[in-house]
Amino acid sequence: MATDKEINIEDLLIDQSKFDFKSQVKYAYKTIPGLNKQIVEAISEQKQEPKWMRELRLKSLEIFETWRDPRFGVDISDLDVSKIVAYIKPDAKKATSWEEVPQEIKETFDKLGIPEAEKKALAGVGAQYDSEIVYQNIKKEMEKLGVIFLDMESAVREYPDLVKEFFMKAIPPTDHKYAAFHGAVWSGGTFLYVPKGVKVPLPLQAYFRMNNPGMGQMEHTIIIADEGSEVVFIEGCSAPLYEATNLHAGAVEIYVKKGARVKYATIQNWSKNTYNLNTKRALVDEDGIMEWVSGSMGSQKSMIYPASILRGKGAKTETIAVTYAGPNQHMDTGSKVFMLAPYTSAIVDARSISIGGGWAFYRGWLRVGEKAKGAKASVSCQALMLDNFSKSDTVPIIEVYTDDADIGHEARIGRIREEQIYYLMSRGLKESEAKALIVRGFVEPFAKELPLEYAIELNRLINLEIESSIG
Amino acid sequence: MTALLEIRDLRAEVVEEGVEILKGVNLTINKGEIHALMGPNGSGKSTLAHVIMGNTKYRVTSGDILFEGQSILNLSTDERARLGLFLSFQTPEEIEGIKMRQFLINSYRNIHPEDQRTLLDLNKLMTELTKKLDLNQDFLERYINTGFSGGEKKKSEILQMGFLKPRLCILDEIDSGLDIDALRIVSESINNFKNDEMGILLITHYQRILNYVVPDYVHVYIDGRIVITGEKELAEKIEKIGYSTIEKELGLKINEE
Amino acid sequence: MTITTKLQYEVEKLDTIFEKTIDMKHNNLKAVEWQVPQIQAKKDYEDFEFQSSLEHISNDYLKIYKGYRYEAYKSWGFPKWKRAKLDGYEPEKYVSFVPTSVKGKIKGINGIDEDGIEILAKYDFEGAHRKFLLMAEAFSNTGFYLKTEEGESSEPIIINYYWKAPIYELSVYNLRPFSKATVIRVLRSNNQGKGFRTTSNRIVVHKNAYLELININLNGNDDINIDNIFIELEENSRVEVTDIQIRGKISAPHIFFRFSGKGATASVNPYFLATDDNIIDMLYLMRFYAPKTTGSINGKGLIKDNSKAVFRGFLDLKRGAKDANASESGYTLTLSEKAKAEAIPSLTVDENEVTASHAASISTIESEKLYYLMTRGFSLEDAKKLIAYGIFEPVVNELNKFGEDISQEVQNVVFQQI
Ligand SMILES: Nc1ncnc2c1ncn2[C@@H]1O[C@H](COP(=O)(O)OP(=O)(O)OP(=O)(O)O)[C@@H](O)[C@H]1O
Ligand SMILES: [Mg+2]
Repeated sequence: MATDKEINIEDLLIDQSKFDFKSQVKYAYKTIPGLNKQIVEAISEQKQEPKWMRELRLKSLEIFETWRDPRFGVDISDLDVSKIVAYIKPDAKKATSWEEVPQEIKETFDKLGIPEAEKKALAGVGAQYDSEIVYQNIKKEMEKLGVIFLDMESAVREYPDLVKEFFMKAIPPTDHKYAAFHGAVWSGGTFLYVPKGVKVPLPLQAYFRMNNPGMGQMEHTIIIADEGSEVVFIEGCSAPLYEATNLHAGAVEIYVKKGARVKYATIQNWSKNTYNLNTKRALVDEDGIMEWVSGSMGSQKSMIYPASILRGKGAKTETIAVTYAGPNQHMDTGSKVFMLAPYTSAIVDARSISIGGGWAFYRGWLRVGEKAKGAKASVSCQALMLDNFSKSDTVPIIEVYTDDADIGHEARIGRIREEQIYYLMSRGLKESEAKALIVRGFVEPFAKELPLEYAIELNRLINLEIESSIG
Repeated sequence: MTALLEIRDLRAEVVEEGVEILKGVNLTINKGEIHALMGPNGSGKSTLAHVIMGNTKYRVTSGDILFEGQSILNLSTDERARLGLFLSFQTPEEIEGIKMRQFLINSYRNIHPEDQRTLLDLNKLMTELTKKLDLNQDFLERYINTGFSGGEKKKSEILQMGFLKPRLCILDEIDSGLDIDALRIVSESINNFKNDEMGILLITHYQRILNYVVPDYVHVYIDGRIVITGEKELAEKIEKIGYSTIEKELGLKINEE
Repeated sequence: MTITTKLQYEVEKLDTIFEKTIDMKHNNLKAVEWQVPQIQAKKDYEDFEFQSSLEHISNDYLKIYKGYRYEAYKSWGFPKWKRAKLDGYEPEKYVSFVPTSVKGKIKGINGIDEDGIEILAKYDFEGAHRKFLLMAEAFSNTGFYLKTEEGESSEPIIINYYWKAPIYELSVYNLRPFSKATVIRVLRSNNQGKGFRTTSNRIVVHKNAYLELININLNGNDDINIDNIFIELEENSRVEVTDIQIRGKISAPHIFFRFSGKGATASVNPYFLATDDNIIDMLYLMRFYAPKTTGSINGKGLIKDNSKAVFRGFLDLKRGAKDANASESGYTLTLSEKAKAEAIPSLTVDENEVTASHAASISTIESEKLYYLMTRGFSLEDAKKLIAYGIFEPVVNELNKFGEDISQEVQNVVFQQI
């Protein structure tokens, strides 16, 4: 029987070659590396922003300069913000048809399969290249129903009041140091408003591509699902591999109004030179439902904990997350749920795979507030360690401040169980097939939440690779 | 003579979901009578038992339950138990940290405060009962139903019936999960514990237990109400032809409401 | 080399094994660790207190050891504990000796021998907080040295602490191979004034030895009780700890298990009960280095009124702990809407050939269970009490084997409080 030691670890890595290509694209504008008042003002100037936004940026900068690094998570002491280029504007106008997108950029998104997917299965697409959205389009029918789907800069100009009401309200710049950083230099991202009762039949998608070494991508996404509406939003991201460190510090703010339902799916596949310090948060009102589907595959170091603040009675949230930590990856991922109203409920299913020396750390925070009578929550963490030089940890914090709640947590860490392999082998499978099948089964609850294209992509990313290389 | 238990046109729903489960149950049980209640899965038999016992998960929306002529709808579960109602659970709860012995003594004192018997007497009685039911010696030292096998749990319930001497016994599927010997022991015990002052409502899926515990009446219960009442032969007929045929014979349509 | 310089040399140079509570590194990666803020006391213990502590010590080794600990003590401030709501600390008036009553074969710490000193010098840990650990060591006013002979199995040892003045305990247990010992430590509040205790206990359980340790902490509402225990487990040794924490302004047990020998087995069963404004902040940590080791943490407790319980169970499996089996469960019953329950179970694993799991649940009493008891004639209140008491029943029962007094005493306290 092949043992873990005989597995060629090189083969087990998620194949990122598909994403690892660089393009020569002209730039219209680029700030110098680092972060200071001039740089922030220059970005604001470039975007011709209203005064309030410029002020928000400057205030964020102040906070960033005075605050300390987070006192938990990955070690980011080697992240040198003075070397990060905060803003790179590609030489491209915002287009609503792929024909208008400059050739090199379009080729990039073609290779990533975005226009193809749009035709087949999406209600709208936004595509960001470095710091700006270069393509944004939504099906006419959706527009007619009053769905607003714009790049954030256009939204700031066209719907100033609406944007101002929600911009950095769920995630204020004071949230943590990198939220402040984001506030100072954010650029790009999507603004989505779904009117009352509108159920968007197909998913909307945003794709973020970083093409330049040493840059930071700081897109800002806002989703407002008005009462009784429903929408599925997919976010994909990737970058070619460079020596220099890239930084991704995006922010996603989701407002789920009464009875609305939002599903936000992410497939994060940043290159291994990327620090991913992303912040995602949803405020959920009465009977609203927030679903996070979160796949963290890429990046060198990640700190990402999609959060749901259940503030309305009967609000629900569900998080399904898979984290993959390969060689040299330190993935500090998790989930945060604040249950602040009666009869709220939460389910968290977090899974991780560590391999080739990678480190998968689950960090959870579940708080059941004093008003959350009748709250129910269950958190489950499972970690699969595919070899003996990787590391898997889980540290959930559970705080229950009411008596009438039913809260459970469970976690398990280990390798694939011999009994399972044995059982499958007794049914005629080869050992390698058995292992691959088990790993596939392990990520299945996540995979089945993804739209088909992505599930296939994920299969390609993990399952097939593992199948061909184990044993 | 007033009936021991009289259920009048009882309707009840699940509090949380508001779904109606009991849809007009009428049933009278007199002292000394054994009534068998049979019906398909999910028809609401256990719910009826719990509503009689006053489980707050259910809300009575109309009708009444009288025990010796008095409505008990306003009584809490423990008050009903003290009146002499007893329910043997289909799936008895496991409660850690409380030994069977301590539990039984306390229950007994709750239900029979007038009884002057000493602790020693009661302990003796308990030990006898465990022997009768062929339960392990350590049974009384174990925590309430905790880690008991399916059969042991059922025996535990019957032991409580014998010990607490209730006046109305509702036995919810007391025969499920018992092997042949256990079924015989349990049935014999029921017959033993029964007296002329006691009424029994026996919920079951199988005719077999009725060979031992012979019912005076057999009720067929479908979708929240009793649809037909007969004698022992009715149970045999059900066993042979099944509920759907009976429904057809009676001209009942599913989801009639 | 004189003994003194040899010892100095040892203490400085000896490969002291220092176990950090949180140890998060992996290959060339490290994680950011939370640093507990420190606050300097306005009036901390100084030379005077240290010298009076030495008055009761004749053992040169021990004096030197305490000297080192005193030096270290000075460089620390008292912690600011967010969850336990401790904002630094001002030491109470120092008393250089507190009485204890002891039954069984155990010496005062002054009777420590070279083996014992080696244990002191060899193993170091952080404790609930370094300052409190060093405080217990530098200013010890009570303490014990237990040494069993190889193969010996002695009568249970019972230590009774009396809370007349702040208690600073420095103890070492040295269980020689194949020996057996039972130690019961009973702390009773005098329920008047503010009691304070901090301890430092180092326990080495050698090859095939067995230790049963029972801590019974019957704190009062104004008492602060910090109990630091470090247990080294050698090959095939076995340790069973029962840790009863009843009430306390702050009760902070910190028990560290270091599995260094193959086949070692340990379990810790905490039972906690918090009422009024009590805070019980527990940490039980098992670190596995050796193969085929087994450890389990099974905490149970209940909280009522405005109290708070923080249950931390850490399982840390290091590479090499092949076939280790680690499990943890935490169960908190909340009986009042103002009570706060926090659970921080942590599972950190560097070795994949292990079985490691944890589970935590926080809830109020299940209504089905209450209903079942009510069908047997119990009133709602009685049913609640009975189930709440049920949490402690196993331990009260267990204590019976050491005589009815202790068991009855714990039972009475629990009954009174629920
Ligand atoms: N608390 C509850 N919440 C929701 N539904 C319930 C509840 N209690 C009962 N029901 C539903 O009511 C119906 C009747 O359940 P009940 O347990 O009374 O059936 P039963 O006749 O005893 O079935 P069986 O023969 O399988 O024991 C079922 O559909 C059940 O799912
Ligand atoms: Mg039933």
